[in-house]
Amino acid sequence: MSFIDDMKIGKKLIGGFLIVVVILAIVAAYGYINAQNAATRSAQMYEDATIPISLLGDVQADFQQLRAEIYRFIYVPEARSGLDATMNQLDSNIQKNMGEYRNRQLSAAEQTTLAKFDTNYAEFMRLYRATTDAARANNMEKVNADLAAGSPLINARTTTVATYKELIEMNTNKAKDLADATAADAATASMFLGILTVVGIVIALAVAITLTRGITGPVNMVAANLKELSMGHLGNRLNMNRKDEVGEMATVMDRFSDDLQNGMVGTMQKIASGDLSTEMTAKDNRDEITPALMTTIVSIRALVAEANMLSKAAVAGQLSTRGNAEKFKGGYRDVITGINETLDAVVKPVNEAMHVSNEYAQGNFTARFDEKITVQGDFVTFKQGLNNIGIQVSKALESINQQVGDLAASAEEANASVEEVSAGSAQVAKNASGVSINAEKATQGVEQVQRAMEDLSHTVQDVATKSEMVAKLVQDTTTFSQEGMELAKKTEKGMQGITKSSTDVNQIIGEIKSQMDKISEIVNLITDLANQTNLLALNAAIEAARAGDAGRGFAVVATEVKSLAVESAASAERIAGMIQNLQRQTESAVDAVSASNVGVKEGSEALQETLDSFNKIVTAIDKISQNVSEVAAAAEEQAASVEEVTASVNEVGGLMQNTTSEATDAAAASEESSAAIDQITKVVANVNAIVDKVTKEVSKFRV
Amino acid sequence: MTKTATENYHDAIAASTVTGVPNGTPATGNQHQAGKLQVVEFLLGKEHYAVDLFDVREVVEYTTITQLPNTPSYMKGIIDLRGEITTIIDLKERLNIDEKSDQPIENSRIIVLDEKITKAKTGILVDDVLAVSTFERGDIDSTSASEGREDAAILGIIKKKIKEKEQERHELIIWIDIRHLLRDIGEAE
Repeated sequence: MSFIDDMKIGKKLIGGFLIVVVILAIVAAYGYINAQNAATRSAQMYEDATIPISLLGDVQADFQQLRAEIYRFIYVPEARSGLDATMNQLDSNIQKNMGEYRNRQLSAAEQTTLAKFDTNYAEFMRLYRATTDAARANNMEKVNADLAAGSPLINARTTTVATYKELIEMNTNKAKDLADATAADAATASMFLGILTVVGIVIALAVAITLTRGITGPVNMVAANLKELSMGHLGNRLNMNRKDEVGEMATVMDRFSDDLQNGMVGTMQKIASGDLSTEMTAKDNRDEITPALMTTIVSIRALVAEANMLSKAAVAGQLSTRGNAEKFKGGYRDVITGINETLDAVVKPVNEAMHVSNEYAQGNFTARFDEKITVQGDFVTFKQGLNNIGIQVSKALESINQQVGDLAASAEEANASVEEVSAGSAQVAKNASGVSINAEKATQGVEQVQRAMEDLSHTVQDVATKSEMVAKLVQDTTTFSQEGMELAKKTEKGMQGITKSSTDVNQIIGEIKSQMDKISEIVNLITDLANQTNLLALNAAIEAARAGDAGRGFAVVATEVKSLAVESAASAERIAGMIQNLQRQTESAVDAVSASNVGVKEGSEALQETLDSFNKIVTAIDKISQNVSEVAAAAEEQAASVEEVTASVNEVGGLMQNTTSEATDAAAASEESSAAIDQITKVVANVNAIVDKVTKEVSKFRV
Repeated sequence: MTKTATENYHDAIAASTVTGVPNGTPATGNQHQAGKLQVVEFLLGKEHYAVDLFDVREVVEYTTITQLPNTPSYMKGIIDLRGEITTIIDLKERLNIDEKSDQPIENSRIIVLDEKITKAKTGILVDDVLAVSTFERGDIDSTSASEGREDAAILGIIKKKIKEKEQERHELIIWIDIRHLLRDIGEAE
């Protein structure tokens, strides 16, 4: 069948149609022949059967009339003349029709029968005329004899009738035979025509299907391949060995697929994987694909070169380097412009942040991020965080300043009050005797307290030195990670400093609190003593009164002691009030410090992301931690010293109790008061010193 | 009859006691110097009261009081005073003073009365003891306060001169007849 495949489609179609036309012509010819046959037979039938039958029919009719006319002739003599004419007419008609019949092609049987008819008819006519003549002659006997059955006339008539009836029957049979033959022929023709038609249809269909398959199959394959191509599947090939148009199409398509798969797509894949080395030349002047691809490669090469240059510059820290966007068009220009803008947007805030962080690190918390520099996105949070550090720390330090000022004022007040109490005590001391021994003991106790306090101050100094070491170490850490990351480090160091200061302040405030608690205890002791003294004085007065005149002097002393005791109690109450005030303010200071801690925490959170990048800091912080542990150890020493102070104060308390138990008179009480007041004076002085320390600590910062 | 329930109660428990005019002068008045009165001043609520100094043995601090069952409400209970059982009477309760002190009960005082005027050792619970003072008889108004009030047990009103902001004014001190009160409650000698 390959010769069909190799034929052009036009030839194929014309050949197919020709085959169908030939089949059609055969069927038509056969039909025509059969139709002609049928027409011939019809004509034959008309000639051989219909006309004779008609003629014989006429003869029969005329004969029957003739037969009837004789009776009229006989029995209606008036009509005889007219009847003669009619009879002659009928006879001539019969003769004429029979003559006509005789002229036709007749079979042998027909001719025999016709001869018989002729004879009989002639006989009949002769007898008929004889009868009519007899009738005319009124010879009724002869007429009746003629008309009787078995007469020669009747016999002749009967035979004549039989003969022409036989003729009619013969013709009828002949017509019937003809009709049967025609019907048989028609049936055969129909059968053959049917077979021919079926065969023709089958052949035509076979040709049509073969041709259609020969064309649509390859066309469908081509269409499918085109669909695959449109989906981007370039691996399919048709490989048709045909020489018709479809074959040519398939060959061209295979060539196109090869070209696309190996040439264009291969190059594009190389570009996609970053290989820009491919060089291509246009196939001819009208080739649009290759030059477009080449342009793409050249543009991307230039873009990559520019981006590389920028990233190398950025890595090298040359943040001022910018790409030349003028060299590019459209989206590539946008890329370079975008990189330039990104660099602009990052570099400015970072420079400003470095500047602000430097300021913070030097203790200047008034520094703020320059509002002229526009920042966006995460930089806004960064900027706000940096500003917040300054704002929160400033606020906290201002608050601390204020609280420390209040504290100082309160301490001053306390000092004044203590001086007042001192004055009162001095007066009591005048009235007291034998107090000096206990006073000396008390003084010794106080000296011990002082020594302990000195120890405490040494320890505190030690702590300060350690803290300085910590600060230095933090600075070392900063230098260590200076490479590009100075901003974060310095900020972090500032944070650490603030946190440490807050902790120091907290510690100092704790000390103040404990000292105040001690003062409160002592004030309570004084109040208690004053009450006891008051009671003693009352009882002394009662005793003195009961003693009458003898006790009068004693009564005066008792009254005096009582009034002193009352005064002492009032002073102690005032001191207690002040101490309460101081404690309130101390609590405010604690609140302020925790507020500053909150601010510091917020700042730390803002810096957290930056800090995460620098693992180096972690090790430095570890070192800081070690030093902080040392600080903690020093603080423990401090705690031990404080315990010593407590022990000494307890001793003083014991002495006081001793004195109280010994004191049967007011003198003892006043002695105790004086010692306690000394204690208060020192404690208040201590408070002042602590306040000075706090003030100094806080004044390091500019807010 | 317009007696209050308290008066009825007093009548009931002291039916046999003398309810005549209040004693203008205590029985031991001869211990005073002529024309002088020595008293112990103390505080009940906000008002100042006084008792004769010679009816007082001593003043002690408040200690925990052991309550006794089935006793009148002014019988506060008993304490152990240096080995001696001492009955404590709540004077505020006895005198129907409703006003509360603004000090805690630990700050109150017990005035221990002289054994001579009591059957058993007795102390009275007061809010505070202020002073031992000497007054002239002329400073005492014995008539106006206690007139016609048999069971008020007030001996008189003492006008105490005090100086306050350069101005002199009188502070009124109610002089209580402690013996009468003790008699009323059956504690007197």
